[in-house]
Amino acid sequence: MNRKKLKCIPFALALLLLGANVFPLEEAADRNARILHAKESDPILLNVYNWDDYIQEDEDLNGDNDTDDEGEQGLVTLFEKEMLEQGINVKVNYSVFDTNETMLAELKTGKAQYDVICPSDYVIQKMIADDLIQPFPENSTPNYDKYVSPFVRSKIESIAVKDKDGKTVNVNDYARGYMWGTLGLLYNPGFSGVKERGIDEDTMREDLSDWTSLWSEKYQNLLAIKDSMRDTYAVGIMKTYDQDFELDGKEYEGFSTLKKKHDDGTYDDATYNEKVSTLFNMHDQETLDRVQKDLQALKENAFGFEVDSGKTDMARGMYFAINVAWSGDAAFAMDLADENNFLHEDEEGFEPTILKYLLPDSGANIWFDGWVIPKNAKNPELAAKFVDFLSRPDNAAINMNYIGYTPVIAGQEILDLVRSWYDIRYWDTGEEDPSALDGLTLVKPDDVYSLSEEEKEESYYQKDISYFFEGTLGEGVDASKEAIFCLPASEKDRQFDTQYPDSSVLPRLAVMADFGAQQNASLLMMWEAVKNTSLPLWSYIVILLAVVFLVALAITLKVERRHVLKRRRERKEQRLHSAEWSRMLRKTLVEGL
Amino acid sequence: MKYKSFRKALALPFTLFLILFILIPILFIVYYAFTDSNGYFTLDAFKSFFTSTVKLNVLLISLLIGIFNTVICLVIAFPLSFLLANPKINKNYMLVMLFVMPMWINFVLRTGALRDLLSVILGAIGTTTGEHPLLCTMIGMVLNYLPFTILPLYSTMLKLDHSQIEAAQDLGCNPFRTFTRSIIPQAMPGIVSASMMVFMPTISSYVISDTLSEGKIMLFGNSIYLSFSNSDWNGGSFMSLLMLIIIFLVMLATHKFQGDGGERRASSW
Repeated sequence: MNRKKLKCIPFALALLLLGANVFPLEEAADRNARILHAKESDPILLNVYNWDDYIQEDEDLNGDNDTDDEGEQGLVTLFEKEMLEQGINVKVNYSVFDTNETMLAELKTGKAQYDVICPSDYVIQKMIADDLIQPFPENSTPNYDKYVSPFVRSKIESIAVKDKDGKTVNVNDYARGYMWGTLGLLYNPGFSGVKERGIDEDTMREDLSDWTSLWSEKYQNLLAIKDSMRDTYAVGIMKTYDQDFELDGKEYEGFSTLKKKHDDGTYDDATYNEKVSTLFNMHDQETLDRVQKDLQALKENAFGFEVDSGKTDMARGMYFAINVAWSGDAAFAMDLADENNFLHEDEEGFEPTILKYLLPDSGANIWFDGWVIPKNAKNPELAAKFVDFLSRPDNAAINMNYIGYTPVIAGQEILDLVRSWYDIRYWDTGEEDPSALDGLTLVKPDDVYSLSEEEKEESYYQKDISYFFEGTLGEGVDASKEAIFCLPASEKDRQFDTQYPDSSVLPRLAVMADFGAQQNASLLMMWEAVKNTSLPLWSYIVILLAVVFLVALAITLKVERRHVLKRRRERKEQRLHSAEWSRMLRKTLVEGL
Repeated sequence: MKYKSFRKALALPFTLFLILFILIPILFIVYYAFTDSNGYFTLDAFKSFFTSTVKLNVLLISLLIGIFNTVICLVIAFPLSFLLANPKINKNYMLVMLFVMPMWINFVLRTGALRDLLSVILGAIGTTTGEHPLLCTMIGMVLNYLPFTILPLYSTMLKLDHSQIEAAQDLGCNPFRTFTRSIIPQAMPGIVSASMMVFMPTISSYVISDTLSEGKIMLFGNSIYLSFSNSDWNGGSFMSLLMLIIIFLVMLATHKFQGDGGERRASSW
């Protein structure tokens, strides 16, 4: 942007010297003519297929029953407008799906035709393997290339994918990231059931840092797990392979051992991450069986399953205290709870619900959703333009503000937005105000937990997320200085920590790969077995006896009825018979007389 | 003659509707049930259903919950509708309306509200909904399907032949025998149509068990949904087909009873 302006200056000066200050006017006229011309042409249809609620939409903010005003227009409308200015008349046909599987099924039948779709990581992998998508046109997304976080890019690249010919390909050629996050534990230390059992916040946090606590009796009926096959499998395997184990006669190191060896320096970050990822993605039949057993036990220990209702239940402080949650949902639940707390603050006896989020020590899942262009897309170039438009930091900031998930895009605008939300120094104005820190003491992030409530009010901690912003803030800007946040101590494990995990947890975050068609079918069978309610043995016996009894009853009734009929018939015959006899007797008697 | 063909033409839209929206979808289900993902004929879905203990167990549990729900609904609704149909007790139609009214509230909302209510009630006695998934599901099922039982029973009860009941009493039947020999046979059409309206929807219901059992109880409907949402269209279609067959069999079995009622057969609405 800046460089462009600079280039313009000599040119404009020259024009000015020539007395040609009509230039801007001419440009405006030119622009209008272009827009008019574009408007006359037939619109090009761009079919976009995205998750529900996953983009900033048109919104009537001032209540005048239209969405034409500044700031009310959604990103799709803004994109159409911008394209018009470039002389292209685009009509975006925006549709939504709610699970990856429905989207995939629709795409496979080949009836639906889309230009750009936003599936999850493992589905992108599947789509490449099944030859359903094409690479992005080269250099078609300059903004994305410039502003995507190098961290996310390397995570995407780490997914090993083979195309249909068995050639290993780079996922970055096929997909452009959109949003990313983690799968961790959202918990409510103030939940009544937790207090009743005498569990304080510190104990709870320490317990939950270990996935296996979800199986402990201490938290029985206090937790809800995801009613979604892959996410719950991810939780199950963290428990199944927590300790060292043996599989097919081979010894493996469990997640806990890997963590220990990383802590003492035996494994460096890269090795550790590779080992965690491999273990996390085990999906042979024996592993599935083991995980099934653990998940069945987890089901017994859990309050229940949920997919969408969990975040609101948590925010209301109802039903359960622990929820396996996606980071975006967790941040959403915290916001909702905070809003609720604010509204009821003054009410007597109101207990605020303060939710926290953490990623257990032994590892967790990191995921992303990305844009892909299907093979049968009509306008791949335009699709790339759309993706690039969304990847501009200013637009990504609008999006993040609206949907609450963390975009893969870094860049100055995102940094500014996140700072104004969380950093004490930027709170009021969005401009840096170092004096905001006056009177506050700096504490180390881990020491926050030992502070009392009063001390927390007067302390802050620093968090460095330069890993995310590195290299995207423009030339000459040092991310390792810029991307250090100062946060109030009370905000530890809250929204900011949820949306941007600490750099120290990165090595233990693993991407979950696609298991392949055959193992997916086995996974589904395992999942059904987990969800299935098996009755105690005696009830099967009772059912069997009941069925036998009923059948016997039916047969007896039938037989009896037949007997009754038969007897009735016999009696009738007898009656007829005797009647005949008596008639004959009478006849002979009468005749005889 | 002309008049007759005109009348036939009147049936055309309905025939078209039947073919388009009932017959063709069923044919689709049959097609998917007996093909594999590439569209070739196979009995895989059939085999995998009947060899999977999990799926058979889901079907068994669904049938059991269906039977229990039907029985409980009938036990509650039978005396209730008998009383409601008695003009001495129920002078106003409003009372019936009150019992039937919940039917007009969206049942997802009703179920959500019930979940909160149950949570409060169970919380008061020191337990949670998550600990009693079966109990909560059954309560939800009964509450949801009770109006569907009351309505057909009520309309048969209105038509009870009271002189027959009196005659039975006069001829020396004790109350129990009057009930079994006169009232029940007369109310049979209502009982059958009420059972039909409860039993089958219970098995295929999906939201109630999902919400109130906190996802812990999987009914046949949930199982079908799970198959479809994980792109196992063939397995899902086979299970749907199986359900259609069960419905058909149940209808066939109850047809006899309904026939007994003849013109007295209760309409459900």
